[in-house]
Amino acid sequence: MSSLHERAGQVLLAALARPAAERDAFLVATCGEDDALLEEVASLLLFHDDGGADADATSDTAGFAAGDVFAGRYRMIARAGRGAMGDVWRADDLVLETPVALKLVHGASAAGRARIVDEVRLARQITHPAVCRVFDVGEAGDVIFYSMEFVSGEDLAALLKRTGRLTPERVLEIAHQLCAGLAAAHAQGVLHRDLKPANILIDQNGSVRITDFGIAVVTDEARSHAMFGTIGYMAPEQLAGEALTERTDLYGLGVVLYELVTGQRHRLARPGDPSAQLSVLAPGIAPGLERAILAATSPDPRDRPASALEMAAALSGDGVAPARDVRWRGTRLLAGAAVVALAVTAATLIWSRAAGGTLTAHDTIILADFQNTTGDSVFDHALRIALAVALEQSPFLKVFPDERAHEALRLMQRLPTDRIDRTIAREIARREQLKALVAGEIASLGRHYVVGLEAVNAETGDVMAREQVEVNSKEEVLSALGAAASRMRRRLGESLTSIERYDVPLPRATTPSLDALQAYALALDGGRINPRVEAIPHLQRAIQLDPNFALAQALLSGVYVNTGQPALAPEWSRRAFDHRDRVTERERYFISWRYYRDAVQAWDKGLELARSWTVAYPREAFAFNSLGLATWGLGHYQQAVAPLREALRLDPKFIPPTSNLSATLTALNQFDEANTLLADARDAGIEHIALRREAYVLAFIGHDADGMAHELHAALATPEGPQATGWEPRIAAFHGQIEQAHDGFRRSVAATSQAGLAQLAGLYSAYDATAHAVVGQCRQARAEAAAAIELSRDNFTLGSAGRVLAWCGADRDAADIADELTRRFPEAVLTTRLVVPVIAAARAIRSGAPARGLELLEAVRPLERSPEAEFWPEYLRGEALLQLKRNGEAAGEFRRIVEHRGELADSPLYPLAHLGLGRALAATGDPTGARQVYASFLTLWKDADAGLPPLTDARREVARLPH
Amino acid sequence: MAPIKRPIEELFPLIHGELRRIAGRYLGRERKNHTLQPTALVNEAWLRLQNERGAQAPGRTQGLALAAQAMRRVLVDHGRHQKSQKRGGRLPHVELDELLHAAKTKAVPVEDLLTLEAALARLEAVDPRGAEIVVLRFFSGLSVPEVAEHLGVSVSTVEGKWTHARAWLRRELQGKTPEA
Repeated sequence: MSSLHERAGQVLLAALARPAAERDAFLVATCGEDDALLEEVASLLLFHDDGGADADATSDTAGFAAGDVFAGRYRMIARAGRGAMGDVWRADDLVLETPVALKLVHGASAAGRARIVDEVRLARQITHPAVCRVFDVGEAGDVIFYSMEFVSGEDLAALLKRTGRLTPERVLEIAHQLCAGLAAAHAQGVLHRDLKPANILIDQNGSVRITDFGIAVVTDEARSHAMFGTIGYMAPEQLAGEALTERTDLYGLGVVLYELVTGQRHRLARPGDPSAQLSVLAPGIAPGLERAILAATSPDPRDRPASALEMAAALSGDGVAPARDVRWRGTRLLAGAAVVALAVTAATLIWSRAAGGTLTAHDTIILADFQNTTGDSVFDHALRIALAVALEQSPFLKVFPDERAHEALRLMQRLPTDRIDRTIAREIARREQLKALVAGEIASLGRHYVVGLEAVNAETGDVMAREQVEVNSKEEVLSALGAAASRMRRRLGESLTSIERYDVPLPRATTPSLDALQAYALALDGGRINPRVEAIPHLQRAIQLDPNFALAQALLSGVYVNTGQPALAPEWSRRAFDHRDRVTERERYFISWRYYRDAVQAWDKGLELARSWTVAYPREAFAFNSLGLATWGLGHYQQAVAPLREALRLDPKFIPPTSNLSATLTALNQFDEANTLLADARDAGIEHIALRREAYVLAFIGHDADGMAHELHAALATPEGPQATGWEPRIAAFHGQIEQAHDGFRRSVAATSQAGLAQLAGLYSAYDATAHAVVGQCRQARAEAAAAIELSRDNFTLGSAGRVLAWCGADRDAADIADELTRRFPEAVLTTRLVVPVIAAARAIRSGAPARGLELLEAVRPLERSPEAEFWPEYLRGEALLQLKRNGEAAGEFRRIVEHRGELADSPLYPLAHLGLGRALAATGDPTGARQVYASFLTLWKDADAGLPPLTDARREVARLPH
Repeated sequence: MAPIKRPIEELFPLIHGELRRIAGRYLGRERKNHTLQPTALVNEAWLRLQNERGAQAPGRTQGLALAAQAMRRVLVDHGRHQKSQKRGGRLPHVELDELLHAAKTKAVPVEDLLTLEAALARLEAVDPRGAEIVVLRFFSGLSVPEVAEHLGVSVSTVEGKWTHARAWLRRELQGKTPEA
């Protein structure tokens, strides 16, 4: 078990890889019951600084770095925040000799700057403990900046995110302080005008500080599109552009308090009785606080308390009685909203959008099947897939995966192949708590086509956005659909910046050929992320129709890798990689991943890629699976757990992270956890040969012969069955039943060759060679190694054969293989930095140069826990150390194999490591310990072929041990 | 990664002595404001050693790493000496980021360095690798890729540990006043 510090480090980094807004949720999900871990990471996050003060940090957008002196007066210490309008820096004011928060506003117009200066001058006059002091304002170039008291603490928005909501008692306390602060400001004639949780800080003593008095609004106005960010906190009269009064701030205050006490955003236009809601949403709320909030949030300013002081009195419950009857108030609320909506056209637009609802970055949508009335079946599947590509390029939107939709259909007693029409889509959305559905239709009008898209709120059935385009020909349908999808993203609440950044025209991102797209759609039937053999012909057809169809090429590569034919993958992932500039950013990550993973096996680059992928698309389960897989592949099992769990959290039905996590937990010897995971997957009806393989290995570890037989037979019955033919011979070889293993491997080589799985055939032949080699049957081993290379010259087969040949003294052949590996797989880190040096070390050790062998093995240490190492580095080191009579160290190496069984449970080196350990212990004068591990070896090999050298040697050696 | 070879171990007393001599000029009893620029000292000590030993000196990164360890020793010795002189001296409050930045460009109060050293020692107890990275970054002035190269681990590993260690130290330095 790793230390709290270590685990905290891993979780911290995983959290930092996410947008700040999602970190808390991620922490809670990741830490589970582990409160100590949660607390540690949360506290580290508080002290984390986004590289602002890092010695290597690049300078910020304004062109200065930490330590620089700005405007001749401020020494910049660290960037404390980054906003659309500019950055906030923690700085030292060299004149006042005090730490300040320095806000920099870029790109404001001259008039805007003048207003900011005016507002800051006003705000400077407010001195109150609950108001963050403003010191100075100035301009440098086109940057306007103002300095404020530096408050070390947290804003209420962050606090709310962390805690959900606050207790009514705490809210009352905060409310009183806010009232006092507002009253002080109002007494100076300054209105805040943008009161919201993000503008209120809680300092280290728990006291309230209101920031940005009057300034936030002018800085906002200085930019182009205002209002969107804080629309929920603006009073109706502010939206309507009417005169503002102190009561405008009280409205904001009421909304903030409402949110603090309920944990939910206040919604003015929502029908229903808000008074009932408040006491339901915040049980235990004092009647005074409840009444004060209700009064303050009245749409009509005249219904609100007249001043901050009156509001403070109302809070205590002994001052103002509820102004009017509650029922009446309810109707007034609605009427108020209607009046506002009618009054100002500009506001109406915003208003109706807010009422219909937009999406947030936490919502998921489901796509309904296109309603195709053109009679042309090419549109049946293709448009839906294209729409998914168009919408999913947005990091903001998450589209419910097809696999999950099929699963939901099954639960709804429908066939997975049933059409997902609007009604069914809405039903699925409500079951799965998805926010909205997007339904498309295509119809023909003469020779024209009309494409329509509609986003519908799944809960209310209200239309959230609607787009319609008419095009002159079939060829234009895809472009039009892409454009409509982009407009829809905007209407659903995505920022313009994001849309501009992630907006590739659909025909370029996918294919201009509708027929190719249709074939791709058929291949995707089982979903992109769980690729199966059946997809191959569809993908081949898609690529035949459009040889530049990058998505289809990348998917084909993935299917090959996941169906035991990885040697066929590189060509396709390479071609896709060559076309990666045309696709969407999201697909580019996918394609690059396939390239690094399948074509060049550059796991190190894959790891870096996956890391930025999870940052760019924090809701993409595939990205987290890739991050976990690369981490696992490089042998960092503990670190692989968090991303794989995150992938599963994002998509519980996604098979690869299930099997990868199972393999990872097994490697960590956490067999119970792995079994539980697989049982959960089974209960959820998930079925895949990779999961069978994991279960088989776990059954083997658990001495569960029935379980092994069950998994094996189930696996053999699948279309991928030939892959499983090598499982049993591996077990026989493990137990020293080399003849039986040999027969079994020959059968599996035949079966896999027949199924066209040349690489698996090569691998199984190499396993056969290894089984012979490690028990000293070098003649057969060399023959099998040669046969393996005949079958496949991929790097796994070559590497395994090379090890066997080196071990068996075929020095020249082994050296040739090592050269070939280095030449042909220059970027495959595990080949060049692990397998090749291991071959060299094996050659040295077997040719009487153990010290040289040890030296060569030093270089592989960083990668030797990788699954591809297969215990060879430790085993070879153990052998070399025994030769050098460094018996204590040798024992250590063998023990590492014995203690890390889960890393490769059916390795033939595992029993033999017991033998090595026995020899090392005997030589260090520990006959008792030696006898124990000799006994373990003899038990593991109890049914071994008679006369195998390790067996006869072990019996002789154990008999000679002193008593 | 090859382990540090024996000759380098022999170099430690040399480089330590060198550093103590240079640092002594700044820490002399007659001086009132004790300040040091640790990165510069470490580099200077290493350069002198290289001039003296020529080909026998270790490579730059290794030499700097060694000098950084020596620098810590000098600080610890100085701290002990100081403590015996004035009992109950409390170490000042230190801002990690300021210190990390300042140490590269100018001399900083030796008290601040002692505070950092004390915190580093505590970090070392829970995270030796993290502490090592901080030492290499802070005292030796090595970049992240250089540290990665030196330790034989990936750049991202160093970045991760560096991030974690900084947050930890920031908290340690801000959260409580360490014992002197």
